[in-house]
Amino acid sequence: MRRQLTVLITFLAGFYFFLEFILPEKIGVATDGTGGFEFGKYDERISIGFTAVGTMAFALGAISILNAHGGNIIRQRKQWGVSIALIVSMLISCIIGFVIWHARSVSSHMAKDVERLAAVQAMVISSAKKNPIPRHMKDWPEEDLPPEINRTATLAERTATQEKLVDALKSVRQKLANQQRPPFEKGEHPSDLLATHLETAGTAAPAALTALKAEDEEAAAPELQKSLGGLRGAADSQRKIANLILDNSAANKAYDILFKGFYIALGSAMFSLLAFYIATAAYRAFRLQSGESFLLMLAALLVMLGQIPPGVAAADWVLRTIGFESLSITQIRLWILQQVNTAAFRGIALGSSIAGLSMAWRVWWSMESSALLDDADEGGA
Amino acid sequence: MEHPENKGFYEFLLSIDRRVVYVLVLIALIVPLLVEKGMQPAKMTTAQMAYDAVEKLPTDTGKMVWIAMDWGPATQAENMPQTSVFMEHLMRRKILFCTYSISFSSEPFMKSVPNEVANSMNKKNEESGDPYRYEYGKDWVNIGFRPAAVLFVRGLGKTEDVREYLSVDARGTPMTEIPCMKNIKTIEDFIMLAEFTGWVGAFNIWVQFFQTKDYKPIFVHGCTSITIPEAFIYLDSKQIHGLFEGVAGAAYYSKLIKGDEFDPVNNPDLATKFMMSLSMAHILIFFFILVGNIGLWWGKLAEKGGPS
Repeated sequence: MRRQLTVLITFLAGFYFFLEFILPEKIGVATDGTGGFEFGKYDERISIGFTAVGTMAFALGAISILNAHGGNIIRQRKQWGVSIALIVSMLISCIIGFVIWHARSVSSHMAKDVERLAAVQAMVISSAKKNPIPRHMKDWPEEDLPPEINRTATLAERTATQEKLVDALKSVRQKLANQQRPPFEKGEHPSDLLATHLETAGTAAPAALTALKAEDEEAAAPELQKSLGGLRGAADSQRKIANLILDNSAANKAYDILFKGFYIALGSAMFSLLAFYIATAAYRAFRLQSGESFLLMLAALLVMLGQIPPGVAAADWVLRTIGFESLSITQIRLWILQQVNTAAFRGIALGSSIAGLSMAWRVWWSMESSALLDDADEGGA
Repeated sequence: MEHPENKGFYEFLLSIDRRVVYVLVLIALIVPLLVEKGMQPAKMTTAQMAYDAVEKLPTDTGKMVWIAMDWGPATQAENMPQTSVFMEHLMRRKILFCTYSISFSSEPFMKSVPNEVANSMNKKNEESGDPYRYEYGKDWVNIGFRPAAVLFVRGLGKTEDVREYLSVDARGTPMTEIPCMKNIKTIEDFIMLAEFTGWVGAFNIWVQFFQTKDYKPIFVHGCTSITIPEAFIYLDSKQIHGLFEGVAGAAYYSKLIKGDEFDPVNNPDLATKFMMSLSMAHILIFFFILVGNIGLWWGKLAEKGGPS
């Protein structure tokens, strides 16, 4: 049963993307251009769903490592010490990862209060006018538009909202006054900028409220704009403060040690071994035993010489000496890559793409035997 | 190892200990980095094409360049200088950009590389009296790593609101609150796509999915030396409009953007230093190919009664 279910899900997922690719944007559109069925209407949501499923692969990977290496440790199999090192490293990475995730989450919420106030202030200003028609409703007839599109807020409603905003602003200012002042190197400190912007908003917002209460829209308008500018500036400064606090946090330092100190250094070291391997391989294996190997080496030599400065200097000197004044090794290199290489590589690329297509077909129809299906068979039996 | 005197010279040439090779490679790679002296880079027509493509981009439109940093520690020697000089060019032209990667291993670089370029540009501005300061959020944004690369890029091409689709940046700040994202609505608001990678398959994702029915981006690609041959087929078909051929491409690009400031002999930059180091390694490889083949042919001649 599990096997059939896996095959069915694989087939349906592949079938959806196949249809989504080949079908037109709308099917069954009338001659006047109306109606029709949009197959890819929920494509964005479906893609996000598949992304979420893809993310689960990380969790499966962790479970698989724990399963395989945990077994090594429990049964004290050969080199079980390596398994301990692997699992300990993974756990440390996970813990630091979760700590930095939490720190980022806290950091991203630090500016939320001010951002909300700025959004409310913008709403008080914009609700005096009709709302803009959203993009997806642009072609709708007037009578089909929702009533809130054409509705404007009354002065009383806007005054009440502004009153709430002024109260909330007072409490936010009190809260932020005691906030940590992170170290900052150059320019005006974001904490000072925050104080200045909040001061602007703290003066303009009540002034706007007084004008709204007096039903003086003309006097209220510039104060509302000033308050909005202050709040937006304050939100920006608060985000900078949050980022500075995060950068200087212990969680961030631990993350940097893990990534920069270990991961990058070890990753680079692993790949750099290739340079040593290539040098010994070139020495031991690149022997001219046939015409083809001579051609291969000549092409490699010309391409490599043409991209390194000492090679260009030496080869161009040789070319000049033998009478090819206007010719450069860089031109020869480019000719080899553009003409000879492109023709050959395109053939290789086409061949491998056709092989990829055939492979995709086999995977779609679950014709490839896989560990998953085999296990499912055993489980089902 | 048998003493060379007991064998023919050709046998000595054919049996150099691998540890000797390793030590020579190490010296060839390290010395240029320590000496800090470079040479003028080789002319790279493909890097010139990339430079011209960026020069043609409009400025002050609020539109953005999408930079896919699909590389990690393994290929940073080539991809980091490429990304760095490209970002410097964008900053010099005051063109906004965002960074994104299909792999988590690029995450620290997406933060550090633009920061380092911005710090260096800010320092230069201070010295020259230019008050402009490059800042995160104003001049660039880091989208970070997102899983399921193919589906993510495919979805990006289809969304009607990029800011909503991306939701937050790498730090968790909502995209709607980031100033440089203000004018970005759909994929068509990205005036260029630049992808730097050394990974197999990463480049193809962008060629296939970063487009719509009516939009194909101006595409600049940075690859490692080993994938240059593959990149040329896309250059020929004009699916890419410029190419950074390994670190040599980055060094030539650096020369193009810096103009008279470029001084590889006395003040080599990152790309030039890396290029010199790799050049020495290339020369050493030639040398070993030559030594191996001289030994082989000498041996063949010796067997026929020639020199020994």
